[in-house]
Amino acid sequence: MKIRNDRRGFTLVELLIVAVVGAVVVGSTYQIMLSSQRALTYQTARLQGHQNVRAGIDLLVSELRELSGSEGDILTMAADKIEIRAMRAFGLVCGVNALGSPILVKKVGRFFNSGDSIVVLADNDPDISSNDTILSGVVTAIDTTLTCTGADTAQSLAVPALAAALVADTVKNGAPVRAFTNYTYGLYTVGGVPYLARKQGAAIAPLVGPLSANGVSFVYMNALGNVTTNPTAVSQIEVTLRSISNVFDHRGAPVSDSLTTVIYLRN
Amino acid sequence: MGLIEAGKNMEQNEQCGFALPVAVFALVVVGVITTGGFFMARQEGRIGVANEHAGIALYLSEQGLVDVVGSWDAVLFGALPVWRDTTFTRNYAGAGSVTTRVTRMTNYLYFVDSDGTVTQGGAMTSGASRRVGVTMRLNTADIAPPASLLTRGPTALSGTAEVHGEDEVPTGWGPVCPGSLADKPGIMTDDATQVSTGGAAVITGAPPVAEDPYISDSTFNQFGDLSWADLTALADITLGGGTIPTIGPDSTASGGCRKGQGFPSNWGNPENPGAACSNWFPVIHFTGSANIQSGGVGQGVLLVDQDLELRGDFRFYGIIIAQGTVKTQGSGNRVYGGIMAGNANLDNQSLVGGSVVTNSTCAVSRALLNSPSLTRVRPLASRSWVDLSTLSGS
Repeated sequence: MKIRNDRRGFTLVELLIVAVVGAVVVGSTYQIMLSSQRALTYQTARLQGHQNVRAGIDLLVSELRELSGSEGDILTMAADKIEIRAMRAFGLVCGVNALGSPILVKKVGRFFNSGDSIVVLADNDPDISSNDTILSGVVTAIDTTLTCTGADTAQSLAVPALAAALVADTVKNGAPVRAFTNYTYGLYTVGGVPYLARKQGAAIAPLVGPLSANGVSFVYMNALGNVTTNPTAVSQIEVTLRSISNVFDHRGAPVSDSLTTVIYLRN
Repeated sequence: MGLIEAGKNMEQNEQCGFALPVAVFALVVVGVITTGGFFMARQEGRIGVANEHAGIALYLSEQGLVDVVGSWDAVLFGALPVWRDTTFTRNYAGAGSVTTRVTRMTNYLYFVDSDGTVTQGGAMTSGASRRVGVTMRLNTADIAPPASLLTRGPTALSGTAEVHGEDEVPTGWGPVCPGSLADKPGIMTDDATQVSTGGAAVITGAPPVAEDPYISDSTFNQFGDLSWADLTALADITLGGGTIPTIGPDSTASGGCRKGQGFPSNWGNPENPGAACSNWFPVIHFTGSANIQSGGVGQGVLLVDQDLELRGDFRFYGIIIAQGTVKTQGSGNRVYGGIMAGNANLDNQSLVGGSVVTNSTCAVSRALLNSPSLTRVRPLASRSWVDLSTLSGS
């Protein structure tokens, strides 16, 4: 039996056409993938930057809103840094000792710690509000086993610096007590990258970044909204954060974002 | 079909192109990218919602403060025992709920904290909460009798009349009377030689009689920024004077207190703490001379343009200020707080019979602090506000 072989191979032209078409298809797919990847990277960088500045603003709002400019909570201020007394604990005096320190403080939130710097309202004559003052001191010892009237959880704070004021009966029951820590918030370079960071003593803790070289700026204003250089006159702070990324947009510029807000000091 | 044709068909079926794998691969890639995009968008959306809800929670908690402070209930909060609190919960449709707590710390200081929780958004995104607080201070009219009886001119005590400068807390008022006691002079006058006693009359205090040559008209008609006209304009009850019938609390069957200008004989219920009208501390103003003929009981601030006479069995807790004289007769008159008798005409004023005037700083301060007319609540001048959201934990 004779079998006729009518199977033919591809011609060169056919192979070239297939190769070209295949290359076009693969190339197009690659371009689509590349574009999509770039778009994704760009969007991710934008979102990251946006989230960074938003988180940074939230943090600064939370810290700065609590300040009292008139009571000296702003220790130093510059265009890219601010050193403040940041509140870390709060309580209410529920027992005063006629012999001086310690004072008994009702727990509101977390306990105070030995070593805390505190400020407390000295009511003086309770009939008169104009003679209210704020006293400060350092807690040298604590006792957390005590209670106020009504069995509210309390702790006693030994504050030698307040002893004289307590003997003079200037601090009354009900006076708010706050513990604070000195922090500087501002633009610091960590590992060669600018960050919004918190500095305490020599320790720098990066919080939000990377930011641009001018990534943090503060503008200090008084109650009328005028720029001031007097820390005790500050009642509003305009904060701007600018993020930057190592991802570039289609124009070749690094992806960046910024957010500005005005924080009104509540105290 | 022959075997050869069948073999040809099989060979043709085995000739697979690459279009399908490429298409599948492309679909997978596009799917991954799309999923990634959706994931990013969803994350961004969640962050945005969380951020928005955190802001709403803060504003809710602030609203809770504003609602309570803006409609400060001096009577309700003034009746709180020290270090006790009362709470209010309000719902804001479509947003969330707020629980606000008012804690009384002293006569003058209150701590108000407000916990706002977002309920919108269902189970997935609701629940954001913030807690803020503010320390409030009561600023009140500057009326502070420096003695049980502050007066001018001839003042005579006889019978069994008593004036005591020792500070005393009225019976049953202990829980709402914080702070230490502060004794005062029994009588303070511009000329101590014009104070006389007879019979079994008693004057005690630290000292019993004190002299202040600077007592003048303004002592009795100017109180800080408030003039006599300003003060009387704030009266809750205004009466013409004359003979006044029995004074006493007036309540409804359901326990409500009938008070105000429409119920001029109701001057509160000081001797039954917790009862209806026990927190009603009116400012009462007589535009002429008044004789309280049939006794009774009251509390608050009693202002008299001319003379006041108590004719027996009248008990008053608070401050009495008369531009003229204050006289008592009969038995059972009892004043806790302070009397300021201007005695502008330097008439003879007399406390006779079994009348007792006792210094009570608590009665004085409650009369002022529980009067919405005389007291305003304000945040502390500095460091009043606190964000408690970040202070949880041990």
